[in-house]
Amino acid sequence: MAEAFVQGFLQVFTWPAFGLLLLGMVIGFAVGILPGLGGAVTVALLLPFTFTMTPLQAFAFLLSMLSVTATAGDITSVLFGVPGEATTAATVIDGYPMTKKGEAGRALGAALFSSLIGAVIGAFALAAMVPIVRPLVLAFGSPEFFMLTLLGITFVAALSGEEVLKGLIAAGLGFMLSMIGLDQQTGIQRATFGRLELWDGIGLVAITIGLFAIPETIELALSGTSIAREGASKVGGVMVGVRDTITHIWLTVRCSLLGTAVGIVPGLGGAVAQWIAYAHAVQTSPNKERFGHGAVEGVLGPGAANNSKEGGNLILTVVFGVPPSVTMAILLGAFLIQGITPGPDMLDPNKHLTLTFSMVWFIVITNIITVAISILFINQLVKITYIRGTLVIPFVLFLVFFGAYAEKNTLFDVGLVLVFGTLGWIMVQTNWPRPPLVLGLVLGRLAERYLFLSYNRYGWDWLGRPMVIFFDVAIVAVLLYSIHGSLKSGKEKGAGPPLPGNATEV
Amino acid sequence: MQRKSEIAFSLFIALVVGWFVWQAIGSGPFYSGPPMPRGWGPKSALFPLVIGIPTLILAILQVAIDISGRRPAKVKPADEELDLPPEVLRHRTIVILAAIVGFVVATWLLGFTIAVPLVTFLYLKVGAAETWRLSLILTAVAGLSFYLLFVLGLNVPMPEGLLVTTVLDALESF
Repeated sequence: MAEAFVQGFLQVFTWPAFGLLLLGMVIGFAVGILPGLGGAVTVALLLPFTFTMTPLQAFAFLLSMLSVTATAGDITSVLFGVPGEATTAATVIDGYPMTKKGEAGRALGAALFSSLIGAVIGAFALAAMVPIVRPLVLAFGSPEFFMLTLLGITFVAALSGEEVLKGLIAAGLGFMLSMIGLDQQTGIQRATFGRLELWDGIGLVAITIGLFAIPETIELALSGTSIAREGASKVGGVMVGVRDTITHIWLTVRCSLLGTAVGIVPGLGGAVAQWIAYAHAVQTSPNKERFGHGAVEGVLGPGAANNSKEGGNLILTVVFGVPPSVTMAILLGAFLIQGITPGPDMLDPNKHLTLTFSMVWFIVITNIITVAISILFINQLVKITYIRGTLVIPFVLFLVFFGAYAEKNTLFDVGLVLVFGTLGWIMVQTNWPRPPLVLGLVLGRLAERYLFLSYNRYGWDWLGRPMVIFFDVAIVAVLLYSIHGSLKSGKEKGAGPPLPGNATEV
Repeated sequence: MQRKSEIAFSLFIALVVGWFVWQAIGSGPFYSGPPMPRGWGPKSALFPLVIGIPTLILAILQVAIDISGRRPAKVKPADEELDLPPEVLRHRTIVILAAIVGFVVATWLLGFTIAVPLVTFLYLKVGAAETWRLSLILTAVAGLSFYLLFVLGLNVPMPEGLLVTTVLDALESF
């Protein structure tokens, strides 16, 4: 085992695998920065190029690209408030306000360094958890997975601060929106209004960009300043963000482990991991009111979880051959192209164990190189935030609308940005939290599938399963805790001077 | 005004959720009558009802809370309020909304390849009153970077735009 671990490390630096790793990094960086072009699409486009490669070369190329995508997506989220990936939307919530305060360098330093720690923890979790994850995952059936999705959304709805009720309604609305399209089980059209474009559901990228980027762009235009507001001191270089990560190292580690755990659950993924990590960062902070207004912990948590989930995702793909996300499903194609069957063979020292450990090292080394290079040059990128807003806005609009178009290559999604941009702007004005809506949309289809399977298999008897009851209790506990916090905060506000902000404006 | 907006939006959310439930309830798992035209069938209506009914109850509760005024309407903190003359604020609002809607309309009619430089130029020159030189330079940067990166580099299929297609078809028929 140890020999395979070392051998896997040494293989990373063989030629041309290392060259392909660097090439994958460059492509992943470009894809990550540009909204709409997700990791899944890029892996699909690049898959044919791996036909002539050896397994080691193919995974060096594809995994390095995937690892960097999540890290680079944070850059657009922090600098422009436009999520570079659907998986980096949570970084916008506190990253962009930090940029407005002139702390873009600090936010990016924190996002990048926490991403590195997350990736390393996720990768080593892949190595360490392989023997124990199998019984754990097999102990869960569809009823438990359904309850897990409900628990996940309860956590995030609960981060709505004083507005727990609005958070839950927004999550419910997200669930309802996820039902639009052809029903996965029956093929019946639901709320498609006869539009062919809606058969496949509504695009996550279009909705995320609309909800988050349009309100920020409007605000930037109205303020008439640069993204980093006039008068904002130019404090907070990249190294300050790195130091922040070290200061909050346990939060970063916890969020990394959360990300890995979420990555192991089939169907959950980066888009969910980031929000749960964000919720954890808010809930464990003594100063919750800072969140949504530029709290560095709000950048650290999602950054770490976003990258660590790759390790968790790979555990399922490598050990079970069960891809937990679309990206991993496409990556599974690479296994098949290479003639490798995921499963026990990947853990056999006489077969592919060295390759499995090389995958771990690809993720680790790619992230170390990316973060090191980014930290060297990111201060130059930060200068964009001091350019006059009117000069930046046309480029931001171009990123917003083209990002929405690029996900499915349909103009319908450009119109959706307009609709959800309006919705997002009204939600900001009327103090409705936006993250639960996005999470409801992400989890909705998954929750429906698990509910359908549970109902078909067990009728309503599944409600009495011990783990389901455990999750019921956990959901009620989270809700009661949040309602208690909300009431307490309301009383304190009534008694004293108003707090400088609230976490609901996210 | 803030309270009225909050009530109106909560009501809107309740209506949207209510519509989903209404669509599903026609022949959901708790319905024993003949199938109704709007229904999604018992299997497809299960999840909308399990989630939709509690969400609808919560949404109605939110409307009631907003109307009763039990929670004071929130105002933005002073450091987030824009201290600008109303006419400046109005002008900027019109410009940015025109740019956002204009971008969508221009893309629909002309395609991205034309819409990107066109909207960039109009926003900079007309909306933001930038100099000719700066407007033209940034328009060229936007147009070229878009073309080189997405059209030539990544070969993303671009829609031609309704107007462009119509004109090209008309020219072809000549």
